[in-house]
Amino acid sequence: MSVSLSSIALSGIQAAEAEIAAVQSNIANASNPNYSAESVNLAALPGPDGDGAGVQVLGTVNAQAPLLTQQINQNQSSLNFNTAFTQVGQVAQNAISPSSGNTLATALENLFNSFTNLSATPEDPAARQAVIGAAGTFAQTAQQISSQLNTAASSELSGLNPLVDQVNQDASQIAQLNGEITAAQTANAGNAPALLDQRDALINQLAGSIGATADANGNVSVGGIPLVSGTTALALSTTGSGASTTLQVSLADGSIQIPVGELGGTIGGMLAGAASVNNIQSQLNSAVTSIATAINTQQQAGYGLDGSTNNALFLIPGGDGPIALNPAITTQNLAAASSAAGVPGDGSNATALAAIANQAGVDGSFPGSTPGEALTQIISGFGVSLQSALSAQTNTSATLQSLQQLQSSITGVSLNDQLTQLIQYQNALEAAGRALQTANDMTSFLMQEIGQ
Amino acid sequence: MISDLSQSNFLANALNLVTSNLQQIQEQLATGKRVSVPSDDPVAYAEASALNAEQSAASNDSTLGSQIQGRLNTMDGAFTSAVNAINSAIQTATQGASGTVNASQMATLATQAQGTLQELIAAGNQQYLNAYVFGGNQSLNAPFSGAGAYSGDTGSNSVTFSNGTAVQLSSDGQAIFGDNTSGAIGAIVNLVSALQSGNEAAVSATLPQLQTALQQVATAQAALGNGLAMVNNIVNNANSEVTSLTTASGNLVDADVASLAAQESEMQLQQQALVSVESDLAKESLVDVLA
Repeated sequence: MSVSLSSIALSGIQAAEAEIAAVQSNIANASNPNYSAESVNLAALPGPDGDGAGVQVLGTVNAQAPLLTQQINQNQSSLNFNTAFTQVGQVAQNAISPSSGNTLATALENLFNSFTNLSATPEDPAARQAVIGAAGTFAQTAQQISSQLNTAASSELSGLNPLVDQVNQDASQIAQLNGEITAAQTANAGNAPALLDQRDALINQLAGSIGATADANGNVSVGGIPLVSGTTALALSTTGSGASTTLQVSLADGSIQIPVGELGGTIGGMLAGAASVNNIQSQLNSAVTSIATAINTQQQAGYGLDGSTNNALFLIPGGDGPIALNPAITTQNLAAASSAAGVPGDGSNATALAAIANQAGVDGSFPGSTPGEALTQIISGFGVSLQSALSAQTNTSATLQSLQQLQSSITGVSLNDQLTQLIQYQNALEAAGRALQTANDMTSFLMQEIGQ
Repeated sequence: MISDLSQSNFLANALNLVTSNLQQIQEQLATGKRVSVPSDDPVAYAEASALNAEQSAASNDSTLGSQIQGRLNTMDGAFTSAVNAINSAIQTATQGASGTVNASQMATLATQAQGTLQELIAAGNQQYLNAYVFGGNQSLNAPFSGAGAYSGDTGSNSVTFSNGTAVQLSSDGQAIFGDNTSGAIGAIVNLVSALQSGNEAAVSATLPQLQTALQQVATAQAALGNGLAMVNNIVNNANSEVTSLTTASGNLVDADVASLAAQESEMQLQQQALVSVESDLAKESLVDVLA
């Protein structure tokens, strides 16, 4: 009987010690965001005659909220996606809509106004110079915007490789942790909860980096394509360049591309942001080229003060490359003004040039719009997508914070709660100690009595 | 259960949100703009851009219209000089045809008529900003020679304002003033010749020619007056349009300062309240009670 009492008391001491250790770990990690509160799983030990034989420590477990974790990862992916997208988007927006107000639309308005003014004084060198100046400003503004958009997109994409390296590192660590967790769980080792926390933190990091999802066993995939399978991490790499950059996963028998639309997180946002910037750059270049072509066509139909004709105002490279002012244009051969040779006072061609401002469909992509309206539609259209991303960023951030709070209320540590438990477990330890002392006293008493 | 991390995160997030809103309000107050970039309000940005384009065109109409007023006033002055010259020629012709002047007086009248001819030719060679305004589209060379021969052309230039109104800026001088063989100039050339030869009948014959020429110039001046009135209207309308478009654009993109100031106070109050809550919660920890 006394032996049984001692073992029961001892099991109580062990249980209380395990619980106190868990509480101590919880208190120590109260401010660790990647920590889930630990608790001790206990089970009653049955005695041979049906009475209790003490308590058994089954192991330490951490608090879990798998559905919330999944939602948090999804929102983290979305938040990082929108953050990366808006980051490059805002740089692009500052290029197309600078605070100085020197926009492409303003430069175009000034050019058309200069044509109108030239039509009034076609022989006036100052009016001709004003047209050349306005045309130069328009071309230069278009060049600057195109160059700044190009820099914004390529600068965004230059940050891709370090992130891909980080994803590969995280994936390798997860694969390694998968093996360690299985081993710890099999051996009922006490470090399993800490390993699970580490893996959850890495999975959250991968969700934020690339929009990865994971199952309960730590198998990670992106857009349905595996990245970590058990203890094996597959290598992720970039493929293509510029606007056609995407990612691929190396498999044993080749590689498989991840569709850009399936990519989330910072990497997905970077690629989508760069694509969006490339798109507006292409739209603006196309609009500018169309406008410059229409102006050149009318300009080349006219005659200069020197009687020359077929002089282009703009140099237009093939494709949608940025235009440039034709350096050969002078106030003498600027053919904008006259519709015939030898009539310096005729401004009818300048009037026709000014009329392009009100001509619909100069940019074929905007058949019902004047050149200025087409530029505004392109820029405000970009504003809509950026506003939508900024709004999604704000909303996702708020949702993520709410989810993290909810998760923290389930898996986090409350110091007040832990202190209360600590007192409770200290009392349990003290009580178990007293029970052991009592068993010891009883044994001593019996030994004394037997000895007498 | 509210974990400590959750509690502090909740307060930090709330503080961040309030601070972010406050920052946005203060930025709008500093710039005075509610819409600075397209993403602030793409619809308002597009509407403001359209208004700015109209404003730019109206502003250009105003500036250009003012220059054109100067040009048309100069042309009007030339017409007045021409009318005066023709009236003077009519007086000279009337005197020469009166039958009361002798040969010497005829010669004097011929000299006067020659001077009048030069006045009329000078009117026909009127320039504005170095451009001849009565040479048709030949604006770089004087359209009339000293003898009244016309070297301009029959063209005319005009400007079209942003509302589509076209105003003529140069004229075929020959159609208005004639040349050494026709119209006002031709009539005065004939008058000079008749006076020099002392041919009273020939002098008399120039009178109806001069009357017709006077009518011709007066008609052209009246047409110019209509053009000038149109330009005056365009300039006035453009000026008021610039003002109203500026106001309309401002209504779309400018910040409501009074409302923002009220929001700023509210946000600052919320910020203080959150800091105070954080401080109060820290005091209620069980750690403090057990200590």
